[in-house]
Amino acid sequence: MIDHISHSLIDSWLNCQTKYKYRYILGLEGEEVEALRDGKEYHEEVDKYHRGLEYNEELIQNYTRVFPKNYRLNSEYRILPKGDSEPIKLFYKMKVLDLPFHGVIDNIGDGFLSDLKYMNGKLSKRQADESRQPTFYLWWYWITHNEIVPFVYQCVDKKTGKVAVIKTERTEEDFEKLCDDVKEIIRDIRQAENEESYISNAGWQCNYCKYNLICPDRKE
Amino acid sequence: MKNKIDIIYEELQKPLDRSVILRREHDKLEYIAGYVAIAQANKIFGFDSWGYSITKYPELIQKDGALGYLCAVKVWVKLNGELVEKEDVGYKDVTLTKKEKKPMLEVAYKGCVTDALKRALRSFGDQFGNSLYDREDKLEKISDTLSTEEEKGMSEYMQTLLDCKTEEEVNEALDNIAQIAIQDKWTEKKLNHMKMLSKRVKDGIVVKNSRKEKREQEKKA
Repeated sequence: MIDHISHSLIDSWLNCQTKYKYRYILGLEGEEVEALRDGKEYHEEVDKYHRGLEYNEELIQNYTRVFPKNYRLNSEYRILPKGDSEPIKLFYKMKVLDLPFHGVIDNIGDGFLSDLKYMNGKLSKRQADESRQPTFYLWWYWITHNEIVPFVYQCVDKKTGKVAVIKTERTEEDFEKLCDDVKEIIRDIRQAENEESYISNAGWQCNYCKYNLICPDRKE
Repeated sequence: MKNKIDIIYEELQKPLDRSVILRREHDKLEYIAGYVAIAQANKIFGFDSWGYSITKYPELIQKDGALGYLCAVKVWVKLNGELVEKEDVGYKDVTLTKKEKKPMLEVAYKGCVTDALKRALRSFGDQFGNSLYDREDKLEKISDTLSTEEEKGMSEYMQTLLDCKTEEEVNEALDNIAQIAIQDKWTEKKLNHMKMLSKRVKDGIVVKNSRKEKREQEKKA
């Protein structure tokens, strides 16, 4: 049964309930998707760079040109994966949810939060403004620091290596709306778990799904 | 040289490509989408040789305590200079939007026409999903499905299959699983489920590898 909330859990549920079931109910890791492997490697090298460890200079040269080293990762606030951390307190203040929030944020800068995206092209401003991910983390920051700060996407284009910076902001109203949406999603998840009924959302995204090989509803 | 009618009959005799079949999670019912049925009709009969009309416009009714639209559609196909007609009914429940709980009348109105069209087309055979309407077959499929709790107990083996990169690895994994099944006295249902999953994984690997080969050939060209 659902025992925590995270951006990726909510995202998984909304993208495809069958994917949610494989990951969060059956606990399957899934297969490593080639298209996502490069992104993982890029993140790891950027992480090493910020922590002052030896890193692959050639791979992330465009990134290091744009973001200097004093743009540091504050490990005090690094939220660790499920099982490795104390739940973030913000949900204790939201008693109706009764579920702890888990997640990992790429970087907490001086007066902003940021996330690295290794992708084809870059995010548009509209995508950044509509994404739930910044809302989650800015909401967490607002509860824990009593301050609303902007969120910055660092987009690295896989093909050209170009780096783009996309800024997005949120308000208290956005946090309240997210809270309402999450409550409803949790109710839907609990109902699906009780009924053992999960609806697939097959489409182009099946090609990037870690559970593609075993899913009965995959789109070829 | 085959004439058009022979080609059509030949196409209609073929079994349906499983890749177009969708499955409803809540009752495991298999079906094909409306746009697939239309695409099949265009492909088999020709764009200008078939059509349909609504013989009974959608009517809002109450059925088993729920609201829904009921209608009837007649399909016509030009075969050998003659019109062949098939008519059937369609039904679609009116469901509510998630947030505001408003009835989605338009979706149900159009959906019942699509349902009737699919049902009328299925009279032409398996290319339009006729075999999916076989109730006995469906019941077998439902009883063959594992519950979530049972699937949880198999997750280790499911992950083993997901880790396979080639058909040979899948065969090897399945052999190992079969030995464990004998040792631990699995039910036939559990073992059949794993066999079904391993076939699905193999099919998926074949498709992925052929796409990869095609991409590599395109790069070389």
